[in-house]
Amino acid sequence: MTIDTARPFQLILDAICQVAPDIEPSDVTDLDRNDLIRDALELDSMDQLNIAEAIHERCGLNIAESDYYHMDTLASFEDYLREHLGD
Amino acid sequence: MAAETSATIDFNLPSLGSDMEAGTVIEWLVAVGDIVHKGDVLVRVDTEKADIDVETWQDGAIVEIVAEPGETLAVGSTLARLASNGSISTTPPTDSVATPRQDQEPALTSEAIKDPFAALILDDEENMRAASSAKRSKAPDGPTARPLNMAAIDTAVSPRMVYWPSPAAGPAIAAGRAGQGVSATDGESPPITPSDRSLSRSERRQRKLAEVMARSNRDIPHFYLSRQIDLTLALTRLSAHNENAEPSARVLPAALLLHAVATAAQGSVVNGQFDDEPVDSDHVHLGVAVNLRGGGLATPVIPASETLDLSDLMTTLKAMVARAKAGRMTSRDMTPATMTVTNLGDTGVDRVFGVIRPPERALVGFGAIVERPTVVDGVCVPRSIVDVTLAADHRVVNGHAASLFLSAVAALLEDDTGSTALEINSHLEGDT
Repeated sequence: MTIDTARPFQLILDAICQVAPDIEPSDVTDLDRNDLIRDALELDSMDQLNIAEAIHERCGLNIAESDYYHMDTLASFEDYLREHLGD
Repeated sequence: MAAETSATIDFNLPSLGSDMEAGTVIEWLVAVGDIVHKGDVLVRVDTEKADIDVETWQDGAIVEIVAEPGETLAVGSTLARLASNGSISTTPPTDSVATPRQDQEPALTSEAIKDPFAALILDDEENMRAASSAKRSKAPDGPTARPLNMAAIDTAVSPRMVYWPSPAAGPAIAAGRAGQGVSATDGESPPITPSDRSLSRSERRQRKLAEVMARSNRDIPHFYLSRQIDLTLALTRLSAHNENAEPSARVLPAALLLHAVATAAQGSVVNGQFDDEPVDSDHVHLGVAVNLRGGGLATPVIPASETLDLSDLMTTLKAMVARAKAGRMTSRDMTPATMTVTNLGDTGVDRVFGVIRPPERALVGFGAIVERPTVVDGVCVPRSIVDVTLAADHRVVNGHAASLFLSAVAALLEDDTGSTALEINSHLEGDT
């Protein structure tokens, strides 16, 4: 099954903007793919949990707590989503 | 006759935090004729800290909107009037409690003094009555009731006054603090010193915080304690729960720590307020320091936090933090706290020695949870450790009581049979 390659990024963007309405979409699109998202956008553990929840709501993917480290950078997060949404 | 059995209730601007003096009406969410129920948001108000959704604590119908959008009012001023049915006892003017009681300084009934917080959070008509009659009994005095000097200003922000100050007290405080020497005895409410509207919300918030923190360092003789807590067992259980749970049902370690603090604080001398004298509370209204992106700080409050189980506490915390970060809190979030917790664990610091938020007596701080070499049964092993600190007010708390409180927090988190451990266990059982 093929996945639109833009979709993982769009999911991340939407999830972040949903849980942190004060973050502009451009703040996310301007990120370097290897930036630590938490540091760059001043996210805390509550934000991280909310992002996992938003992803779950949007596409049914349940990111286990032990997989949270995949959410560290845009690159790793997109790879993770691409892999798990491909099935 | 209906006209006689219905009564009009003033819906007043509550004090949304002990440091609030005035607020500006942003918009009304109800109109004249609307039926409202206890807990409904009636109006959105701009304060230094945030836009606050102000809830009503009475059922009734809106009969008059008194304060229009854009108006800045002192705490205690009437925002609107509600008509209740006859079942709610709103004391008529001829009632004995309407008599001014100048000898009783902040004229609250004994029930209200015993727990001045109860009226704000509990479904308790008695407390509401106590509150409204106390407020009414002050009203005839007007602004001449207390001399405007520094002592009066300090008294005016004592915990008792925080909730139901006389309508004139707010502007008097605002003017006095701003050093403009406005006389409150001229029989007319002085104009409210505008919070400088040229400043941004975050600048105003920071200015307010600076004022409160400076007062704290000036007035409160702080002392500090620190204690190491072994979270290995609690975190193992929490991870086991979270691993099987959907994100919406997961519990953060931060909630675990708050739960233990709330449980340990109940009945401890570290919980409550102190200004001129101690004001105890049966409840733990737990302030939570929330870092706002861009450097701001908000401290919304979980009312009666000790009554919440771990799962409810997590749900409440999550929603409250979201509101705080969005800059839109409810009046419930602004319940005057009896203690505040700051958790800087996400930033990686080991310990935080905080500044007490007056009129509270203590501030609890948590650093990062880290693996540290720890001696267990004579063997050095890695354990998940957090350092909890307590800043306490030596005017009312002594070292022994403070250390007992920290021991109680530790026991709840470390002990296999502690109530926090049991909470986690019940979650685990719920999973299977």
